Amino acid sequence: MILPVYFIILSLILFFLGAFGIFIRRNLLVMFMCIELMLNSVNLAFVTFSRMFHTFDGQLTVFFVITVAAAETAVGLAIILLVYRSRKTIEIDRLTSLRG
Amino acid sequence: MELAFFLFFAVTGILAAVGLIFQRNPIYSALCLIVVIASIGGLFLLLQAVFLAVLQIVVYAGAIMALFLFVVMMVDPQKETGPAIPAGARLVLPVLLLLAGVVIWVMSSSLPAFSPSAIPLDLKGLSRELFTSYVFPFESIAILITSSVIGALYIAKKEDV
Repeated sequence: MILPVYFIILSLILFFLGAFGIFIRRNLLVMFMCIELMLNSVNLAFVTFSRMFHTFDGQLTVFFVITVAAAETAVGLAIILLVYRSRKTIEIDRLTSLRG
Repeated sequence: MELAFFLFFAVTGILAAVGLIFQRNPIYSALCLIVVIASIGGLFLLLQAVFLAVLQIVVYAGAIMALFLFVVMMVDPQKETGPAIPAGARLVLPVLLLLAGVVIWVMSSSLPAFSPSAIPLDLKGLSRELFTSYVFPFESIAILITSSVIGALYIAKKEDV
């Protein structure tokens, strides 16, 4: 017997792992992957609620989240590539040219 | 049986997520993220979201992660140096744990159990909903993704090409 709360707790664990990853990693790409992880964990919660309340709204929200994530990834990775071309690094500790 | 299925995917997902944030090499992080995404796809199957499970594998693990791996290879992955957990992040951990604890405490007391579905959560109903009440978001998302692809191509192209 699986309770919805198991899925919600799993989704929370993944979400906070992603949030923690953003704080501890210094690589722009890996931070971006952590954002994807957080998006995925929220998708899991949406699908759980969709199953719980017998509506399609949660599943459709996930459909849109996946599509927006694809768009966001395309633009975000292009920006990271551009940062790498002009600075030769994507370590955020070394991207300090805006520091006064 | 269902519980074993759930536990398998949950444990795989959490282990791969921990691997994702503690690997020093971005390539391994990307591979770990693929495992997380695949196990979340498995959980979607368990929640009767068959279409989303397929979408998760095809779009996320297929398209988005392929894009990630290409960019990881283009930017010449270097291993991170420095401490595994920077000093500032040590302050963040208790705050995050506290937040997670509060949310779990609130959620666990109020959620009902899964009841047998009154309407089947199948692809037919999903697409009927998508093309009736969600048709405007659906069309606008088509414009969004087209423009983002054009924008990504434009900003990533080399100046002299």
